[in-house]
Amino acid sequence: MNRIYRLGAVCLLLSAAVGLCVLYGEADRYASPTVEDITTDPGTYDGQQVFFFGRVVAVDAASQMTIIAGDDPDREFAVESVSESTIAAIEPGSAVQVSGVLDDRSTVLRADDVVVDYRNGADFRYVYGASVLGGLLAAAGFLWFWRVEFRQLGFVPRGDR
Amino acid sequence: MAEWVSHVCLAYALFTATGWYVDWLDSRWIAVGVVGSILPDLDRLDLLVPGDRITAITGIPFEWAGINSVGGAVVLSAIGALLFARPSHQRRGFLLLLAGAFSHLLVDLPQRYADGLMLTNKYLFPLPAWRPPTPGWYVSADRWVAIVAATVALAVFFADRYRTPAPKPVTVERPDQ
Repeated sequence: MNRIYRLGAVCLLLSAAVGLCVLYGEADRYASPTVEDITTDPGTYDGQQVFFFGRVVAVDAASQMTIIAGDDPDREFAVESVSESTIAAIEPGSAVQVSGVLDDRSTVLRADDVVVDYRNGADFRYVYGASVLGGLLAAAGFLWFWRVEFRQLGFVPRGDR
Repeated sequence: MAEWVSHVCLAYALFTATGWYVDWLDSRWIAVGVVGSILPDLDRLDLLVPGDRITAITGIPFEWAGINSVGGAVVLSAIGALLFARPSHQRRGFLLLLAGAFSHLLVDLPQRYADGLMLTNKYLFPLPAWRPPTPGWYVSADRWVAIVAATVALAVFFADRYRTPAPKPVTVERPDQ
């Protein structure tokens, strides 16, 4: 396949990748209502089970926290029935997942379970730092064995002419 | 998602061990498979160009998570394969990148989720959403995951270094050739 055909195929596939992201954006892949659904009509979803990823904005009392879920920073949920060990582990800025039941015009979320993904800044720094290191390892390993051949506009094994 | 050190180490171990049984799967192809193992996390482009900003500008719903999926793995592997100059390298490249990308999705599956189910609704896209229970082994920030992955990679590295390779078949040239 010559360079022009390859370039054309790459452009087509990049369009397919963008298409996937658009289709995913339109798709409803969760059984429970989303934050966008709830924002549109808050009263409808009381008593329904939901599953959110969110960011802690305040740890209020022994078993309560406030989170932002979704893209709207003004859309806060008071999460109740949070275990003591979870309350001890989190702080404002922690990333959490909550599964629970909505109440009080979808402003309160009675938690069945809370999972803490990132407790604090150190957790975020660890994951991003380890990811940069992993990316560098993968790139270094690849470029050890492969090089760019500019005339053919692609990768060829090192040592090949 | 697990961090990339874990993905890279586990993919290295997987492809190195597979190479014990597949002749052509040597170090240069293992390196390709390892690159494949981080392809699905290209959805982290969201940190540079947020999907909701793209949606706000274009008016079209857009989520980078679409490429952190089975469909994304196929498309991204095909793009990566076309970056190899020769057709024979493109075929093997696609196979290794895809296997690496699938290893990534597989490693991400048993994470802990608050509703007790795997996030297969995301990873299976565009196949139908289906969510079996998750064993809940880890969350992204658990340090022990990278320690286990690095230990496995080191064990395979030393096993590979000191193993006795299977004897290659002997070819005898006939005197009249």
